[in-house]
Amino acid sequence: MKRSFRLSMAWLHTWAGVVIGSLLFIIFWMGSLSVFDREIDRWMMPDTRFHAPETIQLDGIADDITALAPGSPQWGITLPTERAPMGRIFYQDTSGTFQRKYANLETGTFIPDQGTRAGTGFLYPFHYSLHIRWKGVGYWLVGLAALAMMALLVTGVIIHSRIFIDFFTFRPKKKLPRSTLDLHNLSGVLFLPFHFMIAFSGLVIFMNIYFPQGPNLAYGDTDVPRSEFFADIYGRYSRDKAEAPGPEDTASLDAMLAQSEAAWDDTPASFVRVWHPGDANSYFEVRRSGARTVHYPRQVFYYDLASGDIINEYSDSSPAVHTQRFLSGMHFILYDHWVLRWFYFVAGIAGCVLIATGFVYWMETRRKKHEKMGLKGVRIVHGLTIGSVTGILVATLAFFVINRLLPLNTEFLGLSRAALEIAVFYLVWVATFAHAFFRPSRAWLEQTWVIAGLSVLAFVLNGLTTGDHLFRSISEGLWAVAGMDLMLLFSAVVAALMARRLQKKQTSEPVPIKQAAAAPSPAPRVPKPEVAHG
Amino acid sequence: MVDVLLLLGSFLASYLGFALMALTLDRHWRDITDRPKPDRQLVLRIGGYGLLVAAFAMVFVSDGPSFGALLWILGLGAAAYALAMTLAWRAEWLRPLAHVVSQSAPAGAAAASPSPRRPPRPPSGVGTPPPGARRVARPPGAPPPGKRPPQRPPAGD
Repeated sequence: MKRSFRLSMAWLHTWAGVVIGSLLFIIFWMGSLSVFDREIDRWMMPDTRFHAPETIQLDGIADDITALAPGSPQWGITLPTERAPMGRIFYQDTSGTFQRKYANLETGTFIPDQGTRAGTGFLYPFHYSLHIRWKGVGYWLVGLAALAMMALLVTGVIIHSRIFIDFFTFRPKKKLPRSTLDLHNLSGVLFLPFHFMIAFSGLVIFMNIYFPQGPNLAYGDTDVPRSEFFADIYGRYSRDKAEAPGPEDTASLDAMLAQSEAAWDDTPASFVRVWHPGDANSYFEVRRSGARTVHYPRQVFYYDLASGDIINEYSDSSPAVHTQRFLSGMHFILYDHWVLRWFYFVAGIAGCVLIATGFVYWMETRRKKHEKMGLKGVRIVHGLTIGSVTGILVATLAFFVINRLLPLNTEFLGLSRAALEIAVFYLVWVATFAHAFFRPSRAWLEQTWVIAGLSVLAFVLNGLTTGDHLFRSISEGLWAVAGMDLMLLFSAVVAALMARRLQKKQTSEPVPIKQAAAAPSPAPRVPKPEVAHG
Repeated sequence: MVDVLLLLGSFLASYLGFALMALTLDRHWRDITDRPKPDRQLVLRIGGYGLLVAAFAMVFVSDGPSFGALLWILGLGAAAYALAMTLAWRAEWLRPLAHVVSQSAPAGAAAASPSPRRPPRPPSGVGTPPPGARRVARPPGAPPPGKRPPQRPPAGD
């Protein structure tokens, strides 16, 4: 009984891993990068590399925004933080489309469009939606992957019988399947609590997508269950337009902001919004930031813009909401804590190592057998693995490199600069799959070298095109830029070491003696993906 | 400043705690030193777990319960990872710790229960440098270690 249970768990672990591993690796990789999404933004948007202002000025820029967006039903600003020092303004233009603009809120000047979606606009949404918008399939795939991750972790523990004896065991000098499995077990066991919680909280964040019927059950007796539900959990408040012009002199936005922050024990606000600007019923929304707590708070003040009085106030207090916000806050990591941020990054990369080594082990243990049996599947899995492991690293680095190569305001074939960057990302990614499929025996090695090369190239290009080379970024305290450059160098070194190791393996033992009779395809294997973010 | 020290202390405590636990495992003991392994599993385990608890106490003090819990869990993983890498590539760094453990063992503890496993690996064994390259770092004040038993620890050492 016990034996068959373990065998069936092993079966589940193996096949869930092979089928969903590529997806999981992509999600973990993008998630790890998203931990530092704003730092990546600074690197990719050179005009936003400045220190967060000590004091900000909303009243001045409010007039500019009103002039920019006459008749916009609302406009808002995501306020500057240490990690994102500019105000991110949104408004609706005359056709109703949302427009975005960055501004320095200290000087009250707009920052020219940086022509990139960078970390927060591209890499981070990739993490949770895979950029598949169609019918929300992306969210469901990510949810499926999160579910699979939890199942893989549990089954992994069950089939890993020597979990305590092997707790610290890593034997890099043993043969490849063994050392790979060591690394797989190590990464899986040591970060098990974190990986489990991150997969689980990921599901909890999208509870409204995965369980859309929840509000209908709980609020079934009201007319509009969903909006009642959202009003309760997000404190959504709205007041209709008066359709009459408001007073010329409105209350000071800065004063209302300061009043809100004082009410929150000086926790900074994260977001402000003006509803119905210019109308007599115009009102001002201020949201608290999650800088100080793990749980992501939802505390909002609404002020009447004409008088400056508070007209509505929301603070999440129910235990269920608080739990959801703790779990989602833990996942979003929007709080200020550098040590934890790095821990998240390390644990995320450990997840990448976990998934990649799982793949490599699967291939190593079956490749010869399957080749003997004449199965074509192995080559496909091999190609998919390389493309989704080293391939996505190559594509990400290409994304960084092209960002530094394209001048601002470039347009090509009707594509904006931001779209061009993304096109390059996907083209390179597809190319890595093709490369892996057509050169299966060399692809690991060659792509690892490409990773090293692109990392160095991105590093050099940043210094050349922006002048913020490492010495300057460090001396001026631009830690986001310096950190990104250092990580690029680090990943170049790790990739180069890895590639040399692969090369040695390939030249020194082209055909393992034992299996000389079997298929002599000396596919090199990466024992560990590049432990670095580009 | 105090917070930084507490965070560092917490990480160090996790690392040492796991190191003590690793010393209870024959394989790692052999990676670290040729000395006979003292029969002190229980003491080492209690010490190891104690250090892990101490690690939590430190982050709890510096960062409060919710940040502390996250820091602790992630710190444990990172520390264990670091220890596994130390054991794989630089096991000799842990030799002083192993020697403290074996020397502070009650007299006869080591002799009473020689490791029932196979004898220590030959000097050229994978993962450990040749004995000539070893520099045994002894804690100050500790008596010099006797000549290391070249073979399997004899009962009367």
